[in-house]
Amino acid sequence: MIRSEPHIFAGNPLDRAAHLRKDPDTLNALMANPESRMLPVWQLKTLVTSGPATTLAWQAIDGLADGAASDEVIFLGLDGDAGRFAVGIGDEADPAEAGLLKGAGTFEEVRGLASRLPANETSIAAQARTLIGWHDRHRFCAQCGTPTVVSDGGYRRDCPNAACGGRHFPRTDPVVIMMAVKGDMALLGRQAFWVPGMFSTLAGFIDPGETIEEAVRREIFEEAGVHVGDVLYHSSQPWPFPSSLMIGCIGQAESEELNVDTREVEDAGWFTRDQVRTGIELALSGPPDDGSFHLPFPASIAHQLAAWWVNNG
Amino acid sequence: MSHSPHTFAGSSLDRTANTRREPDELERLIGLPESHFLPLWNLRALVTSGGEPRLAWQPLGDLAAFAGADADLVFLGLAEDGPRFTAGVKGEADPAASDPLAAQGTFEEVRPLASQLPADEAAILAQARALVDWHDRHGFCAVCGAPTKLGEAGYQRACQNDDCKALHFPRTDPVVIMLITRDERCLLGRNSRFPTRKRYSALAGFVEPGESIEEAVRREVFEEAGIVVGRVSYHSSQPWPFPSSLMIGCVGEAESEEITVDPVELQDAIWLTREDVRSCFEGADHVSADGRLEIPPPDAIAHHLIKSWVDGSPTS
Repeated sequence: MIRSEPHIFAGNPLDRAAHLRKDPDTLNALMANPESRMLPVWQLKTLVTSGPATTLAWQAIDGLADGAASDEVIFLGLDGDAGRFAVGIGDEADPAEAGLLKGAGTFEEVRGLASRLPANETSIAAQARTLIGWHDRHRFCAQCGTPTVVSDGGYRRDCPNAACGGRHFPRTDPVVIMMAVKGDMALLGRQAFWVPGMFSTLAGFIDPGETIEEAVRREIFEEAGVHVGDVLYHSSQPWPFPSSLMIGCIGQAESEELNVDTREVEDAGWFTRDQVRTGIELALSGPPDDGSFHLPFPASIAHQLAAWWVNNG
Repeated sequence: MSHSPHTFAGSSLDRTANTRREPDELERLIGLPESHFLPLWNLRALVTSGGEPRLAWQPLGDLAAFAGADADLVFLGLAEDGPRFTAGVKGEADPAASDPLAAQGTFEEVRPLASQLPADEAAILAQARALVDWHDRHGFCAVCGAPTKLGEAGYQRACQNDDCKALHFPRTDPVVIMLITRDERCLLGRNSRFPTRKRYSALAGFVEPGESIEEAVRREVFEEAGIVVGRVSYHSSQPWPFPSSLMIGCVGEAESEEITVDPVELQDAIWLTREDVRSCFEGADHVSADGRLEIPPPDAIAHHLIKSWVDGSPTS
């Protein structure tokens, strides 16, 4: 990749030790290890410490798994010899307000934590959020409708209907996110619900039977009417809302005339390198409140793609 | 890469994805006499018999006779000579033995067919197979267990339970496949599913939740072969519709040499020089001159990752 430093939500420091997922005895021993810790997730929010420096609020496992409303404990990986797990808590009321986790911290949206957690902790939060969100939405077999059960340390759900036997795995949705460029101009677009003045790179899901490069060309043509030739891969970023893999690319535009599909984007247009540079600076100093042109926050791959192009493209 | 050499890439159809959300336009396309569909039976595709096989497109008017009046019909896109759809059936009786498909061709497995079809037809077939298989295995809502119904021209299934109404979309599973190199050698492995004992290929594995492509490359190589990987470069990508993978081809630089094979994942992993591998590209069977090594055929991205390295241009 062009970029060597991991994006926010990447750079996981845990050893996923995937071979242990099929080893329930070792997983149980890890659960009983007093050094092991559990990360509680409630309504897809992660428990973090309250106070000046925000960090993940890892909890001792003893008692916590029993207090959880579901049996869905996910093995995140190893930190040295100790285990790291996540658990989804099904309570209606905020468990940090009363009960087992009172005083342990606060539950916060992962997106908002992106720029406040230490970088490598954002990745653990992404892993936990994606997996717990997947369990929340996959409690039934898509093949036959029977309730499924968790296996493989939280990385699989099995259908107990013997006539079906369906096995279901977490999904990761590959998304292309790309800036089309032509000489000193870059193509950016915006959605109607965004704050005024914010423009970003175009993006879209990869279709079945499509390469990354084909998806880049199709999406830019569909959304803006611009033809793209060469496609350059830049970097990738896990984006756990709910389970995307953002694949960042730069596309060489072969046409300039715009034909914006206003069902997909509110607006799209060409911006000069100087404009993009100014838009990046405004994003870094906090989004402007006067509606002037700016890029998304630096945790996004869109910001990083634009910043790379301004200096290197 | 600007021009992918990969089998299953390079479709000539215009997917016109917006049409999926325009029921009136879709109805109009379905009503056109030049609209055709590709029949699948047990995920095999109907192709012409005699001579070079071609996708055996059928008039859309014959859909109900093939798949029933309420068949799941998937819109593939627009060809120069009209709209293209696909629909699949399952069962024991070969539909090519009776009307409306009698004498229209034979149903063939997609993988061996791919290298016999023109490149753009193989790509259309990848799209059709991935989507028909997804519908086959997603007749029920994963959120509540109620039956689902096809929507958005085949790119969605909607839960029919009014208390749920969850929408489900086709899945594409990103897989990293990587050639690991160190100095003048590359790392290849073999697993128990390979067709011959001398077959070796690039290592591969699914990208996990909360993981970048580069992290997945490093994790998989360390898990399977115990090799530490540093810099990772992207090479190219390939749709792989068995059932719904996106192969993301990379080249990675090893920072260690000692191999520790995970016997659950691999039977063997070895370091090979360019000379060890080069002769595999000279014969039609992709076996080395000394007969000891076989690499995957050109329909697999691994073939091209290895070839790029042997030819001295490891990255795009």
